[in-house]
Amino acid sequence: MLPAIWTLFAVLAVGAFLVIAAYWLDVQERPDLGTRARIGWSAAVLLFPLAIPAYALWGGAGWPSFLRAASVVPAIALALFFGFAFGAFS
Amino acid sequence: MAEEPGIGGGRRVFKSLEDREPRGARRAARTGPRELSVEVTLRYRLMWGLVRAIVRPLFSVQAEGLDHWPKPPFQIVANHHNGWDPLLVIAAVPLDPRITWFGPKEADFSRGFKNRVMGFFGGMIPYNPEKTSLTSAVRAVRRVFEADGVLGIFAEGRIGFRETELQPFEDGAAAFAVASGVPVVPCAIVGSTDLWFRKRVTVRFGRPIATDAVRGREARAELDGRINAAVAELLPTIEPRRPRRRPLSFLTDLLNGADDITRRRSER
Repeated sequence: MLPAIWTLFAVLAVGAFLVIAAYWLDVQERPDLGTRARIGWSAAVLLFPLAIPAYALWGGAGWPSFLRAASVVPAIALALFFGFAFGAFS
Repeated sequence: MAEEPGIGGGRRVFKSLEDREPRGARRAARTGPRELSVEVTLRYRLMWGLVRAIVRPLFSVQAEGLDHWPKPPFQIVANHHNGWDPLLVIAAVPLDPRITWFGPKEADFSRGFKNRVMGFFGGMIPYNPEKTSLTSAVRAVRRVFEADGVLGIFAEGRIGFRETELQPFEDGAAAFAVASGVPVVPCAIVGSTDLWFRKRVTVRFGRPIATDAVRGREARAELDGRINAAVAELLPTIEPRRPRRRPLSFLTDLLNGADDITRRRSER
């Protein structure tokens, strides 16, 4: 079971980096975002497990369903990371 | 040029453009593309697969007119709207025949991430406007055609920002094909001016234009005009409207050079 969870974690970790990069670049390039909103969403990257789903679902990003689903990937990857760190899978 | 007639079932394979010149060969090996082959090598298979795996989920890529392709060798002349364009074409076309690209305007593949990746996968003829003459470029391209290869060229030379317009072609678009007498396949990449997640991009190929009977400067200029008109015919007639929601619109400039990004912002 543990190798499967490690594999899942590795895939999700790579996906998480891509989603965080996509979130960051989308915030910087979105034409309809005001300066304050842009700064706010940019700062929110520090709370990425919450900020990215919030941005995708309620932030007016207009992300299609695939990206909205992918927005929770960083949160899941982080949860798995802490799961390993605290020995939840051993 | 080191030819290896035994490789690839009769087609000739050449490793590097610089092989002819022993002086500076070591530097060329370090800075030039690793492989310049018209064969579908394992490395090309890997690149083709990677490009499709990246491009197809990001954009909705469609190919039209692939049945117009003649038997190689031939030359594809395409419009240029974005740094993604060669990748969009690769994602739209079959694995075989392999397309060798004329460009980019860089000769040193040892600098920068993008150049290093391009250098690793090869399959391009680098062009340095300050060093490369038309004669030497024609000589390099002729080797591709002699090996039954397909050459891809963005004839405008630089990126344009309107879907309905073509910029004037640079010298060479017709010259390469005329020098080797190979047909030209016009190609229009429609939809790559502005890119976002799942944007529809259509790669359209027109009917091949014969060049074997073209002789003289005037006939070549006339051919240039015919190729330009053939590519323009494949372009849309109305500038597409940009929707308000464009998810991941940073993709538009992700592969564009800094000068192109500046030009885009100043022209809009």
